[in-house]
Amino acid sequence: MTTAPLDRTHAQFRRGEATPLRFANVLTVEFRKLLATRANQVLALLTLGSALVVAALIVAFYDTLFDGAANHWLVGAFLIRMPVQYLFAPLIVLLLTSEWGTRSVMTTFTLVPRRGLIMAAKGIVTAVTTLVVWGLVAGLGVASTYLGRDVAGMDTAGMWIPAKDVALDLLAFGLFMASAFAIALLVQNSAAAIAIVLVGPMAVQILRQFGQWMNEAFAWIDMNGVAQQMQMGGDPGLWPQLLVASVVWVVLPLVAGIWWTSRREAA
Amino acid sequence: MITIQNLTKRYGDVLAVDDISFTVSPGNVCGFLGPNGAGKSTTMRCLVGLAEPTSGTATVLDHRYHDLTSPAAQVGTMLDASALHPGRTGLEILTQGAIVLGLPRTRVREVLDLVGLTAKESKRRVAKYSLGMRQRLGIAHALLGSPSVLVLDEPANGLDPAGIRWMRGLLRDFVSRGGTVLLSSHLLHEVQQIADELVMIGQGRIVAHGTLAELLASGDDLEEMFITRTASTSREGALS
Repeated sequence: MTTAPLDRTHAQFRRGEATPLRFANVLTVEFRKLLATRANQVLALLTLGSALVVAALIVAFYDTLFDGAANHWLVGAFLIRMPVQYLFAPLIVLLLTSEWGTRSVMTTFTLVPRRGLIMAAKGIVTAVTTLVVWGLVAGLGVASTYLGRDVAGMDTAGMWIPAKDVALDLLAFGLFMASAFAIALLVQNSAAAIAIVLVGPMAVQILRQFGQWMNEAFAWIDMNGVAQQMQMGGDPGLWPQLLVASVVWVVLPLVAGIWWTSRREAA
Repeated sequence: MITIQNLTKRYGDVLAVDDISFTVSPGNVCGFLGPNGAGKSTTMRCLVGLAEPTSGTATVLDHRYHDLTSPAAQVGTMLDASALHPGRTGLEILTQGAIVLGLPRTRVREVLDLVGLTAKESKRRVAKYSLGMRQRLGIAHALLGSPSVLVLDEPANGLDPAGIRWMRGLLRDFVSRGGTVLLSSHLLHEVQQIADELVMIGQGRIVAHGTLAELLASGDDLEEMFITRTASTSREGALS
């Protein structure tokens, strides 16, 4: 190690002349954090890779998978989204929880003491990347359905892409990622948050299998299942269940998470 | 200027910091000395807004940390070498800090040179760093914004003798230009070599406070003073 030089640029201390923090800078750094570690980079690559692999398999085996299926864009998109959402949701969780787990939250909150700015920036990163990943899945869904039908010798003209189905699909995907964000913000532990986000909805869907009463009762907290039902059947009567389930899985943990993150001692 | 005024921090039944008051003036290195669990880190966390005091105030540059224009640019903080994300590279951590503070990227190279981390070392993930390298990275991060105040928790931890000498030179130069330093340690020998004044804390209470000359003028050996006064506080706490 050198014993010299000392900081030549230290000539002027910032005695109250410092430039205020800009939210744009905070947001830039939060985007960088998404892919700044090897674990996150691997998850991102797996997300992308799984989408491409499933899309390729759909093209190669469309007639085997979907013999008789309608020429609807969701046919491919549904299948592609399955591995994607289970790989992308942990990435969102880690954006929030890894800093608490590694104590680097001390560095983050001394750089930006107003914790609301950090939470808002992470929220925007989540929203933007969710939209991008959904767009990728949707685009691959359309392309793989079209190509799959073409390769299989099926009719490709007049593929259905109704605006309502697009909106519902985006809503379903967005709600799932919003729940990942909210639960991670509240729980602040990577393993626990990932378990709750991925296993919680599955557990609810399993419980709905045990009879009519259980099916109807647990529909009120089955956000993913209800959203999927609405896409497939377009049942307008399920909106109240989706709303209540969204409050349970997104709104409540988000409010509690914001409150807790604002107050918790960073140590 | 750092001002701690009647600061108290309680966690349930545990009184981690018990009504402490002291001031650190510009141009001084203040050694905040105490055994493990004495309340040093808790006090520093209250000072930089990571913990909320139960009562009392902790201000820096006459403001609460949150109320400074750009807190990390005006107050350089290093509270724990493990507060650097192990999955990120040293370069990435400093770059993120520079971006948040609105600094040019050249500042990253400057602080790396200042603390003696090479370009190659900076591109390694922090998980691969030795403790000394993490300390140097933490100090580099604290210096990013050219602050006028440094709050350092056990900064010499993990540094070899050459590193401790380097840090002493850095801090002496810093205060000679009017900077203010509060550094904590549980090693009296290390603090004696760097600090102008000492605040000794034991079981959350200040047990001695003054310049080195004042404390030595009392005739007591500093080490003996440190051991007996912090231990006596502990015994009083156990009896009450």
